[in-house]
Amino acid sequence: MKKIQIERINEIVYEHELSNGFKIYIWPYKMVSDIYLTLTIKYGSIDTTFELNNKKVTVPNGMAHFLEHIKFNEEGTTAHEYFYKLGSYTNAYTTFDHTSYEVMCNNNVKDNLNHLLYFVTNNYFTKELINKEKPIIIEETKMTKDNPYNEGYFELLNSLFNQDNHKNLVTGEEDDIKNITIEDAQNVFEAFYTPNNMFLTVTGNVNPYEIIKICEEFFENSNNNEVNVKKINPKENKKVNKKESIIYTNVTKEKLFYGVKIERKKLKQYDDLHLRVYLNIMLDINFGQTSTFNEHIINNHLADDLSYTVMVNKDYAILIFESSSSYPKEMIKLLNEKLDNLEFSKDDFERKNRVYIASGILGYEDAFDVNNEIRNDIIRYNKIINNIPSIFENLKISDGKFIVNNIGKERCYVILKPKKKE
Amino acid sequence: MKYQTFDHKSYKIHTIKTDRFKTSRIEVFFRQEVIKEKLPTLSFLAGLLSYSSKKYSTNRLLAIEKENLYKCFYNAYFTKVGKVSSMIFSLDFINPDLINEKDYLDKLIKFLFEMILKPNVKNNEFDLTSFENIKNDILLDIESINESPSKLAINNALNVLDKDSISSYSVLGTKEDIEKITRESVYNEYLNLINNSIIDIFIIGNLDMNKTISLIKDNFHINRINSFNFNYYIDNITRKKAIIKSDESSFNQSQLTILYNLINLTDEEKNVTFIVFNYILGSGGLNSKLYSYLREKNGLCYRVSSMFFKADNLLCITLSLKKENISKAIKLCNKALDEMKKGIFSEEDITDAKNNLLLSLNMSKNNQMGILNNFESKIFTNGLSIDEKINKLEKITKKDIITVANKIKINTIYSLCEEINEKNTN
Repeated sequence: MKKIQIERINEIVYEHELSNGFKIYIWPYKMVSDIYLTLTIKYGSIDTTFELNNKKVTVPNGMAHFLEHIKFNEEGTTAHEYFYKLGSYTNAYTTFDHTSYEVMCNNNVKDNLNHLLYFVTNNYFTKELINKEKPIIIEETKMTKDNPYNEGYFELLNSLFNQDNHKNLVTGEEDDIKNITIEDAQNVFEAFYTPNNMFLTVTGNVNPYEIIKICEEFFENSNNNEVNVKKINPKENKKVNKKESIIYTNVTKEKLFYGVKIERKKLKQYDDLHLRVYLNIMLDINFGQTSTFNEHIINNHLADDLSYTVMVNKDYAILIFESSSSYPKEMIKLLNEKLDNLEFSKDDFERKNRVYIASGILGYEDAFDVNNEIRNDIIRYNKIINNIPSIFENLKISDGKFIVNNIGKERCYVILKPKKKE
Repeated sequence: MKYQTFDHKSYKIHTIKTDRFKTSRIEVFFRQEVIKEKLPTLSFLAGLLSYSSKKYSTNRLLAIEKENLYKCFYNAYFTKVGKVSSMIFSLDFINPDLINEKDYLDKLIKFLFEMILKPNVKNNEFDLTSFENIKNDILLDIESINESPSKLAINNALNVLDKDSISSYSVLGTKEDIEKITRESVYNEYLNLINNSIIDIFIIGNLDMNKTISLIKDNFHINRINSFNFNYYIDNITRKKAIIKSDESSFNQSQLTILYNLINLTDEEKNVTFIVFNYILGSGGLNSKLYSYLREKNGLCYRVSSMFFKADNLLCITLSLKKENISKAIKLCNKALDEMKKGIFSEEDITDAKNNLLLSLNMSKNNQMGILNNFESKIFTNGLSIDEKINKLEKITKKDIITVANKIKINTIYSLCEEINEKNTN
């Protein structure tokens, strides 16, 4: 078992790998009674085409999310029922690149962990269960689409990407859901729900040695049939798919979604972590509440708000801006101008670094938050990032400036407008 | 964990000393009885007092100062709980012992009271730019309710129940209410708030409490009477027969909201028994009666919520579904509630609900906001501590739950129906 010391705070994360490739990350925290267990599968909504034992398989969009729902079924009962009886809470979620099953409890860690491992790795599917779940997920999809933020966000991804599956709803569309079959579920389960494609994260009031022992015993008698799997990602064009879209929908005021597609070829010397860090600092300096840009647009009522995120994929980094604005075209002009003239001043850079270092300290105090952080690190970087303060202290303004000068011109936007009254 | 209250005549300070967290939090409450006409102005005021101050005259300067203070999180917000409105100023910050800066706590306390006591005012009027920006934000917030089908349906249902009830008052008001507010009127409301509210300060964290209290006294000079017993609970009108109303919307999905009166619940029923009842009925996730009937057995919806509006003495069931399934859903909600009234649930259901509620209560003991909110509720509404709740929870019987179930009376059935188009009729 490997002990990972978290820099500048007295915290340790334990890492252990079983012989079948199953990885375990544990943060013991005795100050609380909470125990938070998550089992994460490295399979998400974008993985719709893959090779399974040399045979190409394509499943409908929304498959990862659908499987997440039906995984809770057991013969004659459900995993919800089991955890409810233990006095524990269980849930799950699906993202573009992973599916995570979670259990929160205060005690009975052995029963809770054993059952989490059991229900997620148990191959139990029936046609009836699949058909029963379809109308529920269709209602969930409608609920997602009734939220203007989701509508604008996914339309922007659709504009940014040509082939890449990030352009599709995580839940899939109604027709995708209707087309899902038991064979799709079985293929995905066989390919991706394998010990070496999943990892366990345990945070809270636990003994790391006990957790590892429970996992070792659980997998002791399980079959470790090797499967040959290869995800097939469509090749993405460096150009955006659509420069502009205007949608009339259920908004009371116009909303702007604006995206930048940055080809990573030009920035190949930066790994995912450093690229994400530099881009976030750049966005905070230039567009955050401390920026003159933000002050200008708010004080002149060009926009009511402005938020932004960074998404880093294998070949592209994506910047996404969202704003409620009565003047979306003016906002687009200003965003374009600013992105062509980004700043990276020493004072701002140092103040932002201080904020990020403080945030790093705050990260380790809550079983739920730390579990999230560990999962994010493993999914994004395949390792625990334990040296946040050093990373920030070693950033260079020259690198920041180089990155902001190379974000390119591939940009697009979506404007949501109130529906026209008939 | 050490709880203490200090009465400083003009305000009370309540402290919770704990070394469990790396952050600390201070909340300053200014409480008043709800007056409908004042709510929009007080919401506006909350926006202004979190946006700028005399010293940090723009939101940008304020944001820079917060970053200089290691990204402390300061906010002013206005809420209404039952018959009581509260203006709350909150400050979250890293424990000073983790920051290598001698005067960090002094700077934080000074900053907090600077924001509360020295607003961005000149000639008895709030600063124009701040005023216009906050006005814009509030108008947007008012409009955005129309973008959220579930929130809109609950608001509409409360108005159908009784548009004159405090339960249906909107803290933001209408666009017309906001347009009437002036820079001067909001400043007058600020003076009224400072001079006539009941003030309580809550502090939680690993702080030298004596030093913190001393710093507060140095920065918060006020001389006034600070005593009033608020009654939080609203008795909403009841009906012999449920009022049924339906509206059309342009959303993809319909919303069903059902409101029930809770008649004469005792304090113990409000604090514990009703929570167990509601867990079995609908708030207990996929194992509750409502989830079982509506989602698992009939596939009518993805989510159904059963919410206890404690101070309003109301139960609210809400779900998103197809318009054609609304009648069936109402029947299933009635069935679930009838079963609770007739005691058609098992001892095992009660034990399971108690065990799950125990998990929530224990988790709230591990969470700074959970501890603080519970302490505030105990001080303000004579509620129970988390341990007292746990103790009472264990003693709840099936008879207690049936008694509570029979104090529930249907009042309003409201549906906000989806736009019917070709796709939805398939």
